[in-house]
This record gives sequence, C-alpha cells and structure tokens, in this order.
Amino acid sequence: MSQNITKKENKMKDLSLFLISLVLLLSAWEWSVNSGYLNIIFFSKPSSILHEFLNLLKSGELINHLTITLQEVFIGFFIGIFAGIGMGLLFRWKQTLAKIFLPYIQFLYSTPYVAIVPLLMLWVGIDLFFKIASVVIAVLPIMTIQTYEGTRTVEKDFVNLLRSMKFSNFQIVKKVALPSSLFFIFTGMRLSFGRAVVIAIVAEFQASTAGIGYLIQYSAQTFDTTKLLVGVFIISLISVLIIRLLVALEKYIIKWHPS
Amino acid sequence: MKILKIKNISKSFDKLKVLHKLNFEVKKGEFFSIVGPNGCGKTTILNILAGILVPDSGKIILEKEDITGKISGKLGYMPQKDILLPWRNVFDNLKLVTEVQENAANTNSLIKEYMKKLNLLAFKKFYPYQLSGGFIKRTSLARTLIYSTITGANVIMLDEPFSNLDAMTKYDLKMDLEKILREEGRTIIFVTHDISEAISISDRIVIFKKRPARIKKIFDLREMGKEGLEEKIMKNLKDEI
Repeated sequence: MSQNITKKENKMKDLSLFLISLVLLLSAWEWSVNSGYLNIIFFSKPSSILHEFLNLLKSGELINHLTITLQEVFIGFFIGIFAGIGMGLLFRWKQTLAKIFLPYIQFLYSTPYVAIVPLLMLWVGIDLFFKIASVVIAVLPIMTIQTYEGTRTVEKDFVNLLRSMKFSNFQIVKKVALPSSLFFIFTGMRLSFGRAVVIAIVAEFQASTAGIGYLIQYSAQTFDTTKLLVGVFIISLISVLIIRLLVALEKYIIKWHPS
Repeated sequence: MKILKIKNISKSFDKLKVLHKLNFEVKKGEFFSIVGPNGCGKTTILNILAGILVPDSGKIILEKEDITGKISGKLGYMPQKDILLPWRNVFDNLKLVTEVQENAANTNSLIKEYMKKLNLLAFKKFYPYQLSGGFIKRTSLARTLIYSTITGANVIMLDEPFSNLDAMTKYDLKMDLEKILREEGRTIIFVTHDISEAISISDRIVIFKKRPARIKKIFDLREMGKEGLEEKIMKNLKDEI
C-alpha cells in the first residue's frame, strides 16, 4: 500500500518537473521571438503555433491530413505486425525456411529503410498502396526478427519435455513459443511504430497531395514555419500517445511478469 | 514382473562415449534409484527412455513393446530443471499437459485431485514467480503425475526431484511424493546423487560407473535392509569419482 503511494508520489513529481521544464522552454521561446533574438520566419512561436493549430482544427484541414497519414500508418503497421509475427513463428517452426529467408530479412532490416521509398514509388506508383507498402517494409523485418528471437527464449529442455509428451511442433509454437516471445513482440511494436510514422511521412514528401507529410513539405516550401511546426508537433504527439498505449497494453497482457 | 528392460544401450556425443552397453531391468511397482558420479550419464539414459535422445545401439522394451528411439508417451518424465510457463498460473500450467490429449476427459477434477495431494490448492491462481522453490517442484511433479494418469503411463522418471531445496522442504516433499507414488503403485525410476535420499525412498539402487556408464552394482534393499548400506554404496562410488 505504502509502496503504491510512494510510486504515485514519484510519478506526480516526475510529471511536475516535466511540466515546469515545458512551461520554461515555451516561455523562453516565446520571449526570444518577441524580443527579436529569434527570427519568427524560421522559428515561429508557441502562441502562433497554438493559434494556427486551432484554426486548422476548426477548418477541418488538420483532421483531413491526419486521417490520411494515420490511415497509411495503421494499415501498414498492422499488416507489418501480423506478417512479421507470422514469419517469425514460421521460421522457428520450419528451421529450413529460416535458413533460406532470414538473411534477406536481416538485410532488409539493416538497409536504411527510407532509401527504399523512391524505389518502391517506381515499382508500385504513388497512391495509397505505395505508402502502405512503405510502412510494411519498415515494420515487417523488425517484427520478424523480434518474434523469431523471442521464440529462442523457450528453454530447450522444456521443448524436449513437451516433445516427450507428444506435443507437435505446431502445438509447441502456439502454446509455448508465441506467448514466450510476447515481450520481444511488444518491443518490436514500439520500435516499429516510430519507423512506420517516419516512413509514412517520407513517402508523403515524395508524392502526395494530402497528409501530415504533405502539410510539412508544403509549409516548408512556402516558408510557413508555423503550419510546418503544427504538423511536426501533432504527428510527434500522436506517436508518443500510441507508444504509451502500446506500453499500457503490454502491461495488461503480460501481467504475469514480475516486473 | 519386469516392466522395463534396458538392453545393451550405448550412446556417444561426437567422440564422447556416455553410455556403454548399459543393461538393467525395472520391476513393476518398484522404486528404482540410479546413483552415480556427476556426468556419468544418468540424465542421458532418462532422455533416451523418454525418446528425446536416440541411442546408438541397444534396445528398450516397455511392457513387451520395443520403444527404442521412439517417443512412446508411455513414460512420465520430470526433468531436473523445473520449467513452468511464466504466463500461466499453477492450475493452467497443470492444464497444459491435458490440452494435447484426446482422451483427456474430466481433466479439471484430475488436476484438482493432484493439487490437493500435493498441497497446491491454495496456490491455484499463483504465477510461477510468486511460488517458492518447493512449490515450483510440487507443481512440476503434479504435472508429471497428471500426464502419467491421463496417458496411463505406468513408469515415472524423476531426475533429481529434490535438488536445490532446503532440508525441511525436501523432507516434506519427499514424504508427500512417496505416499502418493506408493498409494498409486507407480513404478519409479529415480535419479539422484544423494545416497541417503536414495536409501530412504528406494526398493533397489543401481550404482553407475563413471563415464561411459555401465552398471557397477545393484543393491536390493528389500533383501538386504538399509543398515550399513550408505557405507557400502559410498565405497562403491568412491572408486568412480
């Protein structure tokens, strides 16, 4: 009980410290621009950004851009997650497949994923499918490797014991390997969500007429720093929120873990 | 009546010869202990019996059936390492072994029965990290017994079931285990390095020679009694260390 109170107190303390630092930072920024130390054309200022944010929200423009980007991110993210988990498990289940295909996945993982975007544009065009495919390519290798590595945490002795009890490979994967790799899977999801957002934005830079990436790119070309920063902040904020949600989901699902 | 015959079993790992023409038989309903120096191949023979390892040569006959190199599923096995699934509580860990058995009717009542016998009922919803070493062992043991009951496995192999336990916990578990196994008339193959533990619980004790394992001597405790036995076994083991 007292431990819980201390934990809550610590959390409140951390939050207060963060809020104080945020207020100080924003005030310093606002003051620097108003005093002429920073050029408003390049830096904008918090009050203008907030004002622009409310305007874009009222006009529906921001929601429109956001919906498009999040649609690309989420569709690609979920396809990448499920395909990655499936491949990771399949590779564990059929080791020969792992020997053949895993090096390619590792190669794809090591490749700077944004560099694939222009190539992908040449292959599949510039519509929604191109952006979703880009996100899948960013998410899939990390999820495959994380799941495959996660299944390795299963003790060999235990697998042997289950084999002696006539468990099939499929049953071992389903009942033991998949649950034991949940930690790795969630870590993969957190890491890959960031990648998914980055690549969706980059894909929108390349070819789009809407989306947060487009908003940022267009604002940069027209020297509208305020609008540009609204785009940057809103997508960053949503990413942080989604990653926080994933952490909460992980805590809920992996409640059996002592940590 | 002989239930299990091990005939001329040999096993090597690369160039390391672990078992060499090993022969022994286990009688139905007896408590048969294997004692030997570290690394002499005690666990290897259990793994071969469970079908996890395939012997290089020799035969294993279980109730007239040749099970050499096969996973027969007719031997219950509790390995030395207690591994429970951390995401399952005690009850669900025990349920795991029933989930792949086609003839596993009324498994919940069977699980409860063994939880009661092994004093696990109060820990039904506990996760492994919430259990002490003794209760992890009890859960592991209950899992082996439930599996053996469902599959009708008459022989149960226990590899160092009391290792890493303090004296009191070990004593309690040993008493409970002996009671259950004797009541149920199970045939037990028990691997240990603790001689007094083997003497207190066994009907027969086999001493393995150092690697590659062969039989050094078999002591029948029902014929010769337990007096002075520890000394005799120690004397036999001394040459092998």
